[in-house]
Amino acid sequence: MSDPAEALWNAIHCGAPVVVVLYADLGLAEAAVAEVDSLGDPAWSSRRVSSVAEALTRHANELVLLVPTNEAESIADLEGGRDLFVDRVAPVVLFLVRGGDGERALREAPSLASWIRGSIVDPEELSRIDAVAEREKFLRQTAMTPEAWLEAHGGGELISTEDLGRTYRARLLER
Amino acid sequence: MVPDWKLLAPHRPLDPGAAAYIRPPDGTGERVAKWIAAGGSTVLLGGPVGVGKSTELAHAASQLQATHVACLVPLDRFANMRKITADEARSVITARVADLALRVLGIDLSDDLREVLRARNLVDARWMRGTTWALREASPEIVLDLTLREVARLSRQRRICLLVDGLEKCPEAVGREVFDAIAGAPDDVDLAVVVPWYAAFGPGSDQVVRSGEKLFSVRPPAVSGAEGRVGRDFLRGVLGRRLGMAPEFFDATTLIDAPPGVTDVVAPGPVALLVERASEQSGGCVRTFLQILADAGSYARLRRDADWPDEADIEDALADQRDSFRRILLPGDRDAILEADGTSGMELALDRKIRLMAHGVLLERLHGRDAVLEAHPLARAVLGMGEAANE
Repeated sequence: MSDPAEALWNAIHCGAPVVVVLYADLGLAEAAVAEVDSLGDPAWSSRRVSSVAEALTRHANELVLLVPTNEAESIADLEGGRDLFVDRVAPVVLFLVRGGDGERALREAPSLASWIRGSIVDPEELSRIDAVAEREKFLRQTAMTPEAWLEAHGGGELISTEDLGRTYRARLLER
Repeated sequence: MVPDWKLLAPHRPLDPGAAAYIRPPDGTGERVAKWIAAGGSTVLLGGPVGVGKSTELAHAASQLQATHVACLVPLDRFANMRKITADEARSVITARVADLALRVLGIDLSDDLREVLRARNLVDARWMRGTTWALREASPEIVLDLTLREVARLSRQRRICLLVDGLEKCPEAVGREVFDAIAGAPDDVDLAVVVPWYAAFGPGSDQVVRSGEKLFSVRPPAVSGAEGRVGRDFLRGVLGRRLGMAPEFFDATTLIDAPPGVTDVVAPGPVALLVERASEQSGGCVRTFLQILADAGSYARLRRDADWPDEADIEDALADQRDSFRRILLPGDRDAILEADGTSGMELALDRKIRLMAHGVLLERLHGRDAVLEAHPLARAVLGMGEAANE
């Protein structure tokens, strides 16, 4: 299993028009939204919305952060209106409470579930990691410790979207 | 050669006549087209999510062009199928037929019909040639009928086939209303319609659209073992065509036979073997296969700035897929899947059977003439079943 930052980055950047991010309770919604927003392509703007109808009005190049006021209703709308989002460049990221109405409704929404298969990310679940092993993995992949990576790439210079993900992981793993 | 993994676009069906099209082993699109060309007037198309129904319907449309004005109508690209009304469906169909006639086929529709269509905003203003005394208050039902009749009369083919996609996403009550609208098309208009899950996987005793209809099931090809070789070749072909590379590039046999040092005729390292693994784990479902490889390719780029995925990338992409499968299971599904695996599924409660087949958790395979249910390889792994459990 990938780590949270990798999984989030991958879901947002792999070309999927709709992505689901799960969070544990309502108090963590803002942090989840901020986390996803920070991983967007620098060329994208972002917009927070609360319904599928509102998401449909947003430009294809805009990262749409959909925190629904009614989760089950949003799943039903996306099940029926999934293909209205087929031409998106930046995805619609749907935030759902883990085990809530939205995640339950997904079980009865095969068309949407098929589209987002592999793109449902639960960062908290993924973050239950072996930090030592993950630091070794980071070192293998980048030939740098997380601290060295941050020193080299954290100065605010323009970096690639791939590097954004690595920088985020380095922040999680730094001592 | 550097692959662009975003070209895989697992969520996007192919358009009619797309160069990226690869014929699946059972050639559903061709079979649908032949059936209609031979006089079968109403075809229903059913199958699990991501199996390629929309692409096969589009291919059938391209195959029918010689004998029909074959109009593909992806209703779900124009309306929310949860809320679509019969009149909205009629208007989308009318607009698609008019667009095909005017823009693609160059049919010289009458000024009166253009006026009626323009009054309902169903054609662009550029197609208008002046004011007429046309019937401006026609209902969507009449406008559709007028359009179908005139296009059929003026076309070289003299016959229309509507290939309507997206209805599998309709709730049952909405679906019934839209089917009634479609069934209201003149009898000499042929129909090919993707049907909702209850019609595709249910008992099949009720008429869905109109009498004489024939259901074609789109099944994923077998991809495991020796009998799955054709299915794996098909998926490799899909991959190669979408990435703009020869399918042999991903052929594990070619890899083994390639001369040492030849790196530009085969994928580097073990990639061909990883593609083989992705195809087996996809259960033959095209979308799942493409999702696994798109995700793995994206992981490779993120982790190492690499063009090609390695084993860890593929395994992580598979883990993401398994996690998604796990989330759609309900209490009681595990036992039901274990019992249904390898059977016709007659013992399954109908609601559960339809849901599991729609999700592609249970796949239908043909063993001789008998349809047998089989748990998807990724679901097998989630449930700790059989040979896939330890993968």
